Amino acid sequence: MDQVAQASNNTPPTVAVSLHQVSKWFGAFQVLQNISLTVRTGERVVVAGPSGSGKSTMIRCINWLEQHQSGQIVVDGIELTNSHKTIEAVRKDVGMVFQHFNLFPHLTILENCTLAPTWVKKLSKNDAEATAFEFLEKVRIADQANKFPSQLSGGQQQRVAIARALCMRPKVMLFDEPTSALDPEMVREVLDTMVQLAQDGMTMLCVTHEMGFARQVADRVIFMDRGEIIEENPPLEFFSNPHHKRTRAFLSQVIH
Amino acid sequence: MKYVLGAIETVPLLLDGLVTTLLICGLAAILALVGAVAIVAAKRSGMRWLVVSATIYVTLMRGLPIVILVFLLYFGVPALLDLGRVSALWVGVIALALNGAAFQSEVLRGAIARLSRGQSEGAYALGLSRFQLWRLVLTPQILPIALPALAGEIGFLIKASPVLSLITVVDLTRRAQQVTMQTFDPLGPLLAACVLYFFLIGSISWVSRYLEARLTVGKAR
Repeated sequence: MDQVAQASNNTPPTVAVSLHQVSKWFGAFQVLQNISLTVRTGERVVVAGPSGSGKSTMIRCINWLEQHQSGQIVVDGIELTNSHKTIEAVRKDVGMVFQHFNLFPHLTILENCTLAPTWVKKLSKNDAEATAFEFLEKVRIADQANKFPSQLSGGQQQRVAIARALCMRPKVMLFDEPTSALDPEMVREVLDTMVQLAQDGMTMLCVTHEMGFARQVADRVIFMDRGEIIEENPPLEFFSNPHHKRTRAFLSQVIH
Repeated sequence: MKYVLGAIETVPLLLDGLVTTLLICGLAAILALVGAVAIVAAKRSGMRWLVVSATIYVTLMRGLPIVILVFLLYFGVPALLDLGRVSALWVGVIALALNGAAFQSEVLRGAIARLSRGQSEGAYALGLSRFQLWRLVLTPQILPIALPALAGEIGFLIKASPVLSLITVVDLTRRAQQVTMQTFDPLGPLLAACVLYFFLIGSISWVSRYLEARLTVGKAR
């Protein structure tokens, strides 16, 4: 891969994530069919599509929470293979935000944010806490640092989850339906945080049904159906002039 | 007066038995926990023969009366392997540990099942290793869930331990019988043993409640 060559020459790759002909099966069912996708550094890509279309599976392959069975995935110049070293290196560079937050309930908000920096990046306690407060401020929740996750609302928990991922100073952020499990009145605060992150120049790959968010921040919208990418366009084109009939059918259902 | 003095004279004997019971049950409980962790690890290994052996082991142990297990280990196995006389005390420890491991592994399995899959994914996504996941994320959540049931299993071990007096272990129960034979008092020594067992088991559930409260501090679910 040319990305690998670039990395070895010490020039920072301008490609953050690339998938080449990636396929995956769950038993006999093919969830991903020859997916090829390139996300450049600083780019914001929104992935849309009906449930079961493989969107989540695709982004979960990027940090090896799911394993692809053929094709290549290169993250920040490192090709994902079944080796602990590679997987841990990629995971250090890739932050992920989940639908159900996945905060650690036995740790405070602050401890949630310092756990990985101290154990994975071997930061000192002081440095880790300074980093944690920097990002907790950013998501406007630093005043809750000593509470436990269960004492926070869903929207607050999701903002903590975003801060927790940012504390590893990732190069890419993956969002797997970050607002789908939230009460409607809490969706806004999480989307605002994501918009702010986009404005800061973070490379983002978001699986979401929030088409307003896609319109506002995406450089590209990708539409997936039945394990394939069937359309890929800038938001203006994507929303005003969808090419594929399955895209049109989907948009007519999600945009009222 | 004479009766009271006689009763007091027998106290050291009973306490000696209590120490033996404590020693056997303490060792057995620790070994059982180690065994239980091994069984859970085997069941989660994904290696077919390990999973099958662990499952068969737990099923057998749960279906086997503990007296039979003790007799098998004390009389049967030494005869089979031509070991001659074996230490009754160690046979007791091993028998209770083998039995306890099976039951404790079920407690741990149940506690692990109550954690959400998202905990592992959240930890892995942050770059934590498998070992760090278990040490920093899962175990601290499993312990407070499992503690009350684990304390219950240790209570069962203690209540099963008098069976060892059948293979010459001089535990609290055996001592109570000896005192009865010395003093021709069929009631007092047994009642004293009752009180000691009662406080022993009671203190275990008290300690477990204390630990559970400490471990769960601040995070009402």
